[in-house]
Amino acid sequence: MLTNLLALLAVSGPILWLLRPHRWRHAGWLAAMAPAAVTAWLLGQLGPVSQGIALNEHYSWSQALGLALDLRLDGLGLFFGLIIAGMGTAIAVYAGYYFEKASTLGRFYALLFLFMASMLGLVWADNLLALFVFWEGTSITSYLLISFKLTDSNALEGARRALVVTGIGALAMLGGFVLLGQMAGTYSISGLLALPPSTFTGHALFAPMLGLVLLGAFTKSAQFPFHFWLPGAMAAPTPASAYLHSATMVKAGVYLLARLHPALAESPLWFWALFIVGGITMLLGAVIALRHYDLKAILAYATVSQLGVLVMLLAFDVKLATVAAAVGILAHALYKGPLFMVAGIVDHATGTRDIRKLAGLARSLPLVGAAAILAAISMAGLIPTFGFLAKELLLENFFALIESGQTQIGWAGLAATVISGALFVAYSLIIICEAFLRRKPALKAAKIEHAPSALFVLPVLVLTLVGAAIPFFLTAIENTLFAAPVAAITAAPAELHLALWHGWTPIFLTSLLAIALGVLLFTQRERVRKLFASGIQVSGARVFDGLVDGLYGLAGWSTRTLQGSSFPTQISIPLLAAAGFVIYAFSLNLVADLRIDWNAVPTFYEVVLPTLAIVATLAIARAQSRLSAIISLGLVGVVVLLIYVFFSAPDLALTQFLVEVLTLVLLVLVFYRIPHHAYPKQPKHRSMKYLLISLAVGVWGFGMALVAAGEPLFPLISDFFSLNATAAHGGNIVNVILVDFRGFDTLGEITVMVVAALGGYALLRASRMRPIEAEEDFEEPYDA
Amino acid sequence: MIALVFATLVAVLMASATYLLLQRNPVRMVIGLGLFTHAVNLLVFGTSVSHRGQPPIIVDKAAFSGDISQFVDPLPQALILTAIVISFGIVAFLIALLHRRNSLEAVESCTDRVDDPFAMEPAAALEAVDEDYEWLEDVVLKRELRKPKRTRR
Repeated sequence: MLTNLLALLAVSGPILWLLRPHRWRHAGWLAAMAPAAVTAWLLGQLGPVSQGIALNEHYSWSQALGLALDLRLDGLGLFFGLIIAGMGTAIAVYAGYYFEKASTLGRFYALLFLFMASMLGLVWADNLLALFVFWEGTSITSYLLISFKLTDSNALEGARRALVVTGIGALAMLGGFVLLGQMAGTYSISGLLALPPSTFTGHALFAPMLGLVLLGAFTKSAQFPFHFWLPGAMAAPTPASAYLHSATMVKAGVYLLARLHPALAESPLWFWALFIVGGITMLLGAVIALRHYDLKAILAYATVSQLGVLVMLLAFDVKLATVAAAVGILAHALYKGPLFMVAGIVDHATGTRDIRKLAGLARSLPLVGAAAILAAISMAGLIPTFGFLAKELLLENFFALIESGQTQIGWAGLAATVISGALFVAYSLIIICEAFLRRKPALKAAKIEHAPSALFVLPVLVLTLVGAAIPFFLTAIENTLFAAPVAAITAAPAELHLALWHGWTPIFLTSLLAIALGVLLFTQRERVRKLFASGIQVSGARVFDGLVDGLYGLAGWSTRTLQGSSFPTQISIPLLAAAGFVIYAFSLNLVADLRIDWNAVPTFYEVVLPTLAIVATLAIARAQSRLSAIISLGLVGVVVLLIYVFFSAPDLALTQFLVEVLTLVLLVLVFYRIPHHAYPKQPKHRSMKYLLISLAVGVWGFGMALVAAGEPLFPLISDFFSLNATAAHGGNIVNVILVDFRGFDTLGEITVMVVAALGGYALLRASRMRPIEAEEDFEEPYDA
Repeated sequence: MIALVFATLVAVLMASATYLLLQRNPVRMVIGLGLFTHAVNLLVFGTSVSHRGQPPIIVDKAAFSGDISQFVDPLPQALILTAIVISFGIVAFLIALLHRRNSLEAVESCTDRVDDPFAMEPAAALEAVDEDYEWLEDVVLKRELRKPKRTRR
């Protein structure tokens, strides 16, 4: 069933594209049917899954390679699946009205549904490698959605940044997965989680594995210092921003952390990495959000901050923190998604998202205003919203830590939460008051040119109301909705007792303190903004662009240096590099390890012949006429041939003989036709340089020959060939190797010969034709 | 001892081959390539010279006892056989290329070359390279001057 659902989504997107949905005014409702069906089915699974019954599916693909598609619907997968499919339904409806009659709607749906399928696959995958594939699927669809407006260079740059950052992270993560799989002996996630955690934490490679996996999770979830890609991704159409970059895809990193939590969270390394990175991200995102005036930018940085909170919560290996994380994930999806959608509607209606140009939208767009205010109150964490519940749990976690003796961590977390909570309150109020309530905007007001229809606002309202209603039905849903994911993260059955109101506890008082601070910040917002504007602005995006440009520069420089010059320079570099390695190896005194049989004495001829070859070679180098050089080359060839004869290689001798004769004939034939040019003498310094390079290459050859002459360091395959030659019905072992054991090599050899022959034939044919006299036929295009 | 003889031969062949490859004269480059081939083949062959033996040919297949210690190592021979043939193909192709170049009336001048796609400042990058090709221009110019006297075959 899970696979069918994935297939349904993956197929329905392209089908929608073919139907050209922009022709119908209410196409969104048709599009929403597929995700709605998925949501309905998932809601039906809530009962059994919360009882602890997980749904497993296994599709075998290549048994020999151990490749299979394993899907598993457990508490965590269902929780995320509900958010993905439920939000997806709302977004599908919303996008239909957002794009109106734009013909790109079909493409958008195709990408959106492909994304939805990858994202659901990601949270349902029960195999690390399958998870990676789906993970990359979300990266690619996200890239295509960010760069959806192909003419917008900002969008293209933002998309590239997002893809490169998450792609690098994903590659690192794949490395981490391989290590993880090697440690566990299985790539199955459920199999891996069933092992005792000490399998991983006690392993020598635990730290590198953790680092790689965390790199993947942190880049995907926009954690510091990789947070910069997320605001850049806001160039995507708003439905995509609301869906991918606040509710679902950016939570993939959080999902991975939650998924691997039972196996890895025992380690202090895990705790400190998540606590510190999550804490910094939380504060940084909240602070930067105040600096911006673009509604989407504010929301983007607020999202970064919220992701930091979630990562920080997953650092703890206690149930309370896990509950806070689960509630936080759902609460965030249910207020940030609608807020993004509101930003899209406002943009749609007024043509701007700059809050300085907006005012009084609550009066002119009452429905939108109501949804926005409800969602923003939840973002601020005011009682009695879902956001309040999430913040209470967060604070409760730190109070519990202080009580249990981990005071420093507890106080640090508490302080960070209060500061970021105050900032959350401040910009929630900024959005509510500046955009929706105040009468006069700071800059020239934008008019409402295009009021949204009620149906456009409906999905936003529904999501907001669901978010607002959940705190009042906690007892009814806490154990069906939240207990299962909590149990999956902590790997222990969980029973929850959530409540909105605990009385005047220290937790509530701290919450009030944060709200008071937030209101103070809000009243002083102009000063705060000025302060932030004057501060140093280190932009991660700029650093990243610098790195990318630097990489291009390096590639250009190395290509110019290594390959941009004349042929002699180009071949000198690799030859010298090879020579350098051998000379270095000799300096390590490897000669003693060569195991050369020094007693193998050559016969008289075997000394005379090489000497002859050496003399002939030197004669070539110094030859004044071409003919003498060619003859000397022939002499060297004959010596090589005789060496083959003396050392029992008759096949080589025969072949060498044929080839030598042919080469000589060719050389003489062709060079007889080529007129002799007096090439100018090389300058003295260049001759010397070439001589030195040649000597270095000679040393290289000498070293390599000595290594080759030594006893082999490992068993050879030759004996296998020799022993089995008769089985291949051949007596000549060399021939059997060529035509039988290594037949494909010979096929390659023949191919090379055919290509060379065809090329040579074409060249010789071409030389009969007269070249076109290009210069003379050329007419001057302008008058002089 | 035999290893030393082989190593010296390989070293001299390689050094001379490199020196010839670095020259401007295309004839010398082709000869250099031929020498390099010999050097590399001998290098590979050197792995099998310290154990002497019979050529790796089983004369009587029916009576073959499985005693392979009498043979020299056949694998380097198989490798070299392939290498000889392929390098002959390359040398033959190179010779055809030279022939073609010669048969063209005008050797392309270096300014006609496609620009280096990685060059930051194309002009400056070309200038640095031009120095290496000045001789080629000389050759072309001289040939242009000689043109009327030359008879075509």
